Amino acid sequence: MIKRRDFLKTVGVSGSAALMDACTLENSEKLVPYLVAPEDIVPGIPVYYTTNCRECPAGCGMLAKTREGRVIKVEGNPRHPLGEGKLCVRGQAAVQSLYNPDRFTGPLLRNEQGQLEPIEWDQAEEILTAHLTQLLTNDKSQEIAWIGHLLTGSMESLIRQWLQSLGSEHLLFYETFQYEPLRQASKIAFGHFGLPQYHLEKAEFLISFGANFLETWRSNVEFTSAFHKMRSSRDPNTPDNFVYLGSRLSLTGSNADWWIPLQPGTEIQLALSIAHSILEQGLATEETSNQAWIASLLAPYSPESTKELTGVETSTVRELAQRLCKTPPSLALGGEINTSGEQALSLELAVLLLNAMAGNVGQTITFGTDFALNQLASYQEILNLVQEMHRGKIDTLFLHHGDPVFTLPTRSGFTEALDNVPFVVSFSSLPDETTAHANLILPDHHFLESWGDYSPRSDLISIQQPAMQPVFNTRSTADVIINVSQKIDRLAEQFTYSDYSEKLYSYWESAVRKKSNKDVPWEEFWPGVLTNGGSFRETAPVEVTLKDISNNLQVGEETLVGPEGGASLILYSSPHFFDGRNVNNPWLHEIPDPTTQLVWDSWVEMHPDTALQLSLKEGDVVELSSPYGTLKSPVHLYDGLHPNVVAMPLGRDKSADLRYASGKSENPMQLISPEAATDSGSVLWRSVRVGITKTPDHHPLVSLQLENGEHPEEALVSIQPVESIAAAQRIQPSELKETDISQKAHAPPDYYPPHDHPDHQWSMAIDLDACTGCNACAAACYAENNVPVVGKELCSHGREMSWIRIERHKAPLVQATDIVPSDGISLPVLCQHCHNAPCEPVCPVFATYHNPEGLNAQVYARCVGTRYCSNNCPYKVRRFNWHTFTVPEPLQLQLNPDVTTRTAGIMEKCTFCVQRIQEGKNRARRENREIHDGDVTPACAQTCPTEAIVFGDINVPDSRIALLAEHPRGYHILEPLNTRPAVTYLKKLVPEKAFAED
Amino acid sequence: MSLSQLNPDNSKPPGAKTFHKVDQDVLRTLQPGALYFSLLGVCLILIAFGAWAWSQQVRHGLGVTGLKHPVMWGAYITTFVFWVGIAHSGTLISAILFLFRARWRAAISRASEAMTVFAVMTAGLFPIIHLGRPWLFYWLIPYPNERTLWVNFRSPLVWDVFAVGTYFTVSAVFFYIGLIPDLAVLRDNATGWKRRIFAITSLGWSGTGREWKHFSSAYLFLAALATPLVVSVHSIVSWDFAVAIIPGWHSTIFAPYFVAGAIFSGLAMVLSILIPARSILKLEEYITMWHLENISKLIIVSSLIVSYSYLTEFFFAWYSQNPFEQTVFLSRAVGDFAPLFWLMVMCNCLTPLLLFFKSVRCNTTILFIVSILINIGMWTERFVIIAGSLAREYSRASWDTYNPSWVEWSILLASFAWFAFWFLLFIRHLPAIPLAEVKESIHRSFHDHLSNRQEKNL
Repeated sequence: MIKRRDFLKTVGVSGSAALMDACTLENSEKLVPYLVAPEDIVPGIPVYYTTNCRECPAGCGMLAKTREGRVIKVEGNPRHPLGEGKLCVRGQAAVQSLYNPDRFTGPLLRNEQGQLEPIEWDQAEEILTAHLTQLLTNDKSQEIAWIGHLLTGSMESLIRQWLQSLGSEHLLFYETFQYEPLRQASKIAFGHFGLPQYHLEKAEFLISFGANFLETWRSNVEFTSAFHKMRSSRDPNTPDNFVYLGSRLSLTGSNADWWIPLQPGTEIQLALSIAHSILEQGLATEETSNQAWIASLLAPYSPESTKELTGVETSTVRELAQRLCKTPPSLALGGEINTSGEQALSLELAVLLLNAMAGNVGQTITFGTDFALNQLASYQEILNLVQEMHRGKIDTLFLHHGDPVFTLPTRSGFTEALDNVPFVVSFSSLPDETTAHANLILPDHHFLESWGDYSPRSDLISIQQPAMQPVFNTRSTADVIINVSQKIDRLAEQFTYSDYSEKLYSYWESAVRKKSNKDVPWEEFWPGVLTNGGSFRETAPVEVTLKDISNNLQVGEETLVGPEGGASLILYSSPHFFDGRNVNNPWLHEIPDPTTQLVWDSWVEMHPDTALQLSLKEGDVVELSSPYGTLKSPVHLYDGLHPNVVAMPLGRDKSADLRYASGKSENPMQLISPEAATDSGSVLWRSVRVGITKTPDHHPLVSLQLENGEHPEEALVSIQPVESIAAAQRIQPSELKETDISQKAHAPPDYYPPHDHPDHQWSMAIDLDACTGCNACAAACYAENNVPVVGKELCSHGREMSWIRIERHKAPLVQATDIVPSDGISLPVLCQHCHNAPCEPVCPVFATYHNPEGLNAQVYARCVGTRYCSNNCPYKVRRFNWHTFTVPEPLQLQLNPDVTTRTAGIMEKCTFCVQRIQEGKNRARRENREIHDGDVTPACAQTCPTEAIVFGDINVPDSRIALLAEHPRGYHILEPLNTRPAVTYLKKLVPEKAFAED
Repeated sequence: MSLSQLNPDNSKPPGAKTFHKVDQDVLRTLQPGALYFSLLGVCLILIAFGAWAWSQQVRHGLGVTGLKHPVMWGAYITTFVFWVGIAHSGTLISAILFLFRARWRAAISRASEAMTVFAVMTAGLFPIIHLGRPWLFYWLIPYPNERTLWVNFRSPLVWDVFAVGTYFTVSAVFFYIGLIPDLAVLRDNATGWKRRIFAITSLGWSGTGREWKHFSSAYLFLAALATPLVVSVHSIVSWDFAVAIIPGWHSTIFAPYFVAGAIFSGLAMVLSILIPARSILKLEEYITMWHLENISKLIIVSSLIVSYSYLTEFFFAWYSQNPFEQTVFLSRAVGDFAPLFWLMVMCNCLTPLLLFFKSVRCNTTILFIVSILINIGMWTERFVIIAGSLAREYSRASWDTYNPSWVEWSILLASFAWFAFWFLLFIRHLPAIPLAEVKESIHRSFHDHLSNRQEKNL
């Protein structure tokens, strides 16, 4: 007998159990919990590892953000003196090198048919062991050579030790940009070989002889941040404190107040005439004004006599001299590849002389800190090795990162010499021009996967931690070396480490802790290193005195080889691709090049007047021919160029089998001279004139901003000229004083009542005076928000997805003579999160709405794709998913799990990084406190090297954002539309007077 | 010129038509021929192709169209507005002219009403076709749901749902009510299963005086109900644009401007359909030159209104001194879309001026060509307004241009086929000329004739 109640109970329980069971989907994925949970992995909570960026030799401090054991984003390490928490566009894109789908998935051996075939690591190490053993037995081990990227610290010591014990003397650290002239010039002028340390932040006036320090020159993040300090502390009444000289207006140049477009090769005459003018006006420092050699050296270079050659007016030269000396300290920077011809060393000497005469040495230029770059082999040394290779004196060549076949002048003979080396071992982790010639490929870990350390200069050494398990079947080069050595009898006793980390510890114990932190025990020292990202200390500057440089100064007309009447060829390092090492990172292709706004592809830049003479249009393919080679490239018309010059970016394309490099553009290194400069041993970057021949081909270049330049209806521009748009973003000092803030507060009447923001009101301020247009924010946004890459084809159809774009507004440049204002505006445009957002009322389904925290929210799941919101957005910041965009494996591992990926038919846009806002609020709640200013930083603001982007809650009184929103330079774009954006822009300060006007 | 002035004088002598002849003439058109089936086949093929093109769009995303940032609306919305416009003249002819007692409309009212219903059916597809996620189109309809999600009544797109929905309902009912007496005729002349169907659809019509009385008031009532819709529907469609802040869209004249344009294009479409139809179906006796001439006269009026609107837009742009507005209009005249703009001026402003000549109005060939040109011109007008303005919006850095892709062209073509498909079915199965009304007008003209004669005799 069963009671009624029991029956009901039984039925209830079993019924609901059956229902619960039925709720499970057949093919639902199972979450497998960790059997033994790793200590520091909590699902949903990111873990950060300090490491250092090896995308270029600058070596900025880096934090790798990992989620569930995967690196999903990299950011600057705020405790690291290099970068201070900021990264550049290349650093931000480093995760795409890590997850690059084209990376070698394991070791490869070239078989007899010349094909690379996969092998096992044991086999690979055996092959190498056997080969080295054989060399040692045959006593040919001195025929081993190593060409690798710059190494310092434990890795350098390991490699040196290894090569030494093998008996090889050929260890060459090689980077594409090696600064030989500057290193030599310091030695000649101040008796101190190596790069000087610059302190831009202390300079009152800056002049750059082509040095693109905001892009790739030496340490761009550090310099960008210092440049911002220098600019933000300048006197608003004389806002023009940066002059750029050079034949091409680079991104750095467009951040200058004035540009002096120079005939290439005349930089040195101008530098000397400025020096002459300093002396003549009695502005030089005491030590230099009395030096007879200076007076006699400078005598022939009066501004009047150089005017004819340089085209620069005497008044301009005198003014430059005055500005350099009147408000000490100032700073003159010299030397980039675009000024590096046969007189590169002399130019550096002249610039150092200028600095000495202006009293900058010891102030803005100091010596005493050794730079890792000083260790680089000169190009001449590379050429010597090439000779050895040609002569068959090299049996085994190790290539450790870098792509010399691509980055050395093609005619240097390196490629042919490489084929003359019987056994070439490459540690490269990505296919490139050089690995095509390798016999054995032993792919190294990415720097985010391996231990390491790097000391870009002697006052700091950074630690490089493995932030995750390797993505592919790669092996750290150091471990390969240790493993191989242990199998070779002669080396075994020297390499007793179990793996590289042991070597690293011992190095840090002996070479770092004992030297700089003797008092701190290892147990405290090491965690400190891991927390801070390295060991940092102060170095004392060394006193230096200027020596007589007149014997080393070769001044004359620069000789260029090539057809008469040809244009001089300038190569420049691409701000996105450096020398082409990250050519396979799709973000860097899709984010428009900052000066040209072009995406994907490579090109040759030409002045519109020159193009007109040759009847060339944008995208027409020309053949450039120099005595050393010819290549074809599409033309891009660029008015920021001296008319006698054509310019080409380096490293935007490679012919290796990489999916994001088309292989269609040829390497400009084919055109330049294979000779090394006789004095500095540097590559003669500027050595040729090229003949330009039109071909019938046309290769359309894709620009994401059609407005600047050759828009089909130039007539239309007159109605709403570029100048007027740019003018809205500029302000002159006198206007600044007159601006009445109370007037700004007046808002026109609205039909609807204003929104309430009781708790938070998120807002942003963007300082156009600080923004350099470096694109780091855009790359950070791509990484943080899972923004898809669409490729060239779709970019040309206007389907790019970037949430933040850097618009370039500049008045058309006047004919390139003398000195011209170069104040281009970089205008970062992202969703303005308007209070009266035009997108909101038109959405039929409330997929976009104003949320109580002032955000213009977008609900992806609710969006049906009418696209009305995008039509009605005057800022055009909304992006529509034209397709379901996916990424090839394993790039999807980079996706931020906090941000939904979007499918076809959905509108998306900047969210002010709502996931970071949520995280900040959660943190504050956990810590039981109010949210503070600075608790929430969107990805773009986080990485901005000039802190041009400031984000915060405007409801917090005295927060940075609350102050900036009322800034006298503040304005909103398209203010008359009364959209009341949450983004305040601060106008760029521009000079009121012409440069040499009193 | 008021519409009632278009009334013919009643001195026309009665034809040799009898009620029976009318029945026979019209019912003859219901016999299918080879031409009918081949046209139907062509339509079905084009519809199938358009459907396949759309399936590609659904599968791969809107990337298969030529739409882009910043031109997010293009050929689809243009075609939507175009078909809504076509719908208008049907209601104008059948409802407004009915209320104005313009009796000449009788012979062409059925075809016009059918055109309205089919055009709205075509137009209604396009907002769905153009959606990024068309399978969620019902989210635009306010329906109670457990997630308490509602639509945004501030959005003109929601107004569109109501406007087009209402318009379709009313015009379909109006069409059906008008059909009832004729369905009874069909019933009487049909046998077998067709007879059963017509028996049901004619609602047991037996032609009693009481039925006629109710029928007349219902028809009048629905005509009165449909009339404001002529104005409201296209006003609301125009607000899709006027409510936006886009220069070139944001304009107070849009509602009357679009209504005039809708009537203009609709009348042209009536001509484009009737001229071939009357000759193929041998209905010249019923749809006479006199009808065509009257429509031509209406076209002149609406063309002049439309031309005036174009001028007004340019005047506003100049007079406002608003640089954004000026940029858009200058770009229309000389920019990327200039060829289309001038095509539009030629088709919509200049060509209709030919209709001032009676010889043109009476030449069906020229009239047909003019009507086709106007249809092209009116599609172009919407295209220039929609795409041309979006391409030259506030943000100069985002300026771009737009070309529809093959998918959009295919679907545009399929929309014509879809419309023609329904129209063919209509001609084949229902009387293209309202029997009752034509008979009524025979009756009336006979009476008029009698009374005229009496007056003369007196």
